[in-house]
Amino acid sequence: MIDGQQRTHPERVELEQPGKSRKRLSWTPYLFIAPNLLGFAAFTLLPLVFALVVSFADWDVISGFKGITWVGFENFRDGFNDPAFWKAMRITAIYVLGSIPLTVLLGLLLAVGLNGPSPGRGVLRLIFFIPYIVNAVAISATWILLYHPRYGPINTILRWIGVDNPPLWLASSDWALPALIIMAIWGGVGYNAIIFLAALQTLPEDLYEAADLDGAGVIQKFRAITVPLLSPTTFFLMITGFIGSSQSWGMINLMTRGGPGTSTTVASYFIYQNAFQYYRFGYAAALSWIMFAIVLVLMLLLWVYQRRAVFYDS
Amino acid sequence: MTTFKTTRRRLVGTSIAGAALAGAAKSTTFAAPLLKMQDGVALEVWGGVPAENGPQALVDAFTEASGIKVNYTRYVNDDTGNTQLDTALQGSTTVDAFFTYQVSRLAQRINAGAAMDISEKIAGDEQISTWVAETDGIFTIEEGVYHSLPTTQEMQFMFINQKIFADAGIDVPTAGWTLDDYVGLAGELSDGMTFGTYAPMNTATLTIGQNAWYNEDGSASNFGDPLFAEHYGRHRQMVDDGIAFPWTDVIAQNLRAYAQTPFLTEQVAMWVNSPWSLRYVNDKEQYPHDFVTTFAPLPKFADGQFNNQGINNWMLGGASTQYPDEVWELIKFWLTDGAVYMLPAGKIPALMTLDQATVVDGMLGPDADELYDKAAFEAAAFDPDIRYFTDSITTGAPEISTLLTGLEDRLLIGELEVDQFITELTEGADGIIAAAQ
Repeated sequence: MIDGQQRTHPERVELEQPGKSRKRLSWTPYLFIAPNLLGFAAFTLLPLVFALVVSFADWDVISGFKGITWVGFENFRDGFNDPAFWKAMRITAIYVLGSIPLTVLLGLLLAVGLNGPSPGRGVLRLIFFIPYIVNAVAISATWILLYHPRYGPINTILRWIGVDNPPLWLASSDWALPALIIMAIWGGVGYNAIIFLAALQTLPEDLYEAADLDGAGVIQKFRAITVPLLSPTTFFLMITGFIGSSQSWGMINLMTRGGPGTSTTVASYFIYQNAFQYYRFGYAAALSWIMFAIVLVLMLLLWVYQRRAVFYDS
Repeated sequence: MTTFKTTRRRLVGTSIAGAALAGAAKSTTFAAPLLKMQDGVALEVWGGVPAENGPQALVDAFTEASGIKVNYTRYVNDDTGNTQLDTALQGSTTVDAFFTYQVSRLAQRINAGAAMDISEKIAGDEQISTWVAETDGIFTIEEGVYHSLPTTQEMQFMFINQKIFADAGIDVPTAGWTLDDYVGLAGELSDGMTFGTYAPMNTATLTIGQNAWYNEDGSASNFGDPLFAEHYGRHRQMVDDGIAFPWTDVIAQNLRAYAQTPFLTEQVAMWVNSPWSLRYVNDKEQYPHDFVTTFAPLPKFADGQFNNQGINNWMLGGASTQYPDEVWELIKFWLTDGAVYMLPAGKIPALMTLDQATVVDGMLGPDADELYDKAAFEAAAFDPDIRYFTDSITTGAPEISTLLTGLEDRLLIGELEVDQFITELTEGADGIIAAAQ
């Protein structure tokens, strides 16, 4: 902050501590960030703390706070011993691992493709980004039509090219999850591409010029320069993608409601069912914390790994 | 385990055919100075029916008649909507009266102390107490202690596309037709593009009636009853034969919640449903169609069988209301004079103070002559064989419902055979019940 400005602030507080230099504390910056902090406290921090507290209790909401029964670690024990929860975690892992790496890879390829001068580049960028900004309900309705087993365009094309028994997609326990993964990839590629495109603008031209002088080809330059220099972006997209994807709920609720059977019941949907359908809020909170711990450990492992694999230019 | 005692008195009052009271509704007289309410204060009422479909007109009429202001808040009757209501009932918002549409939620709310005890109010009102005494299926958690009253009858009957029958040269079925007739007609009407029926009625639950999912003392499930294997086996066979709507389409298009679409787009000829679905037929803008909807009572499927059906749309007073007398007046109004305003929403009054013609006209709307066969509707909706019940055991009901839906889907798309389905359902439901006890 500029000194001249500080001197004019009547609310300036000056603290003097023995043995330390004078520190000046102004409340103004805190007032600026207060709305955000208050929002964070009210809508994120408090619910988190409350969820932690409730995870040690049996609670059905409708009985109010007087209906809370403390059960210690029972919910956590039940969660660790619940095969349905671990099945949901397994489905989550398949969903995340099936969608995120491919989304990031396709996003990268798309960004590289759209980076150079080409006719209609701006329009193409917009088209690929559209899935990211379109309303989830509209996307779901469209994909429901696309996946229709009898009349959907996808199966019509598959039959046309000679596939006699095309997948039933959302109406099959085997194909519903792959169908959701395809949708997730389609929905995420554009966003990944835009982030990669922004990163591509920052790559130093001199490295490519030097590589040209050394006679490097397009693929060599991509592998030796683009990919390493984009690794911080790739890491960012992977880690945010993993976290976001492991929390997927909206599309699943709109399209399959966890079915057929439990074939698309990912962990977050399973937790939702326990909370809002079965009113087992304590158990659902405990499952959320178990899931949080697992995701946290995996992300920490990724973080350790990135120290070796990610190239930071600076 | 949560077990409740439900009265098992024979229904007299709720059967419209039996009670078909001649004449218009009796006017409610409001106790003179019941207005303890301060000026500007209004009763807060939460219900699942959109205000414009009837509740707003009802509360406006109530305000005009009584001077008591009412704010009606519509909550969506799904998981999150119900949680919203439950949070409000815990004091985040004032709720003086509210509706509940699932017995398991009803039990939960009453048990949690969220509902006002209206036993004395009922006892003090001759009309209501007589009706309650004569009506089967009114929910109580304890003999003689009332917290809720049903406002609607929800019987099932067959919606029929008259055009498809006429084009096929087949007579529309009438009372007394059998299950075999139904399956046979479904076959005759199916041609690969049109399906004879959307899905058959659940003959197991219709036959067993109360607590169909549970054994007698509620300690285990009842899905081992051969009636369930028979029903689900029939449904699967009809899907396999191409005479019931393909379940792959139901799942792929999420039609469980929107089953009106195949009927109103002429993909199915017969559709088992309840009066509330009339609102879709009435909605010519959203569902334009050029056929007449006619009706039939459900077919007979057993000797001496009667159609066990539900009463629903339970109205409760909030336990923390400061205006119990006013809330009771509103409940009474909703059951009696106000019921006429709910007819456009497809709500047949549980307490019949309206004559049958008024009910029919109100439910079928102004375009009835164009859209419906009115006589067939009367015969189907006011079937004298209908009897009412309400489940009294709800142990793990939401979990069992999820399990059943998932397994039913897999059965009907051919991923499970009937015996596997019954085995998995029984084991799963028994586990849920045991865990909940």
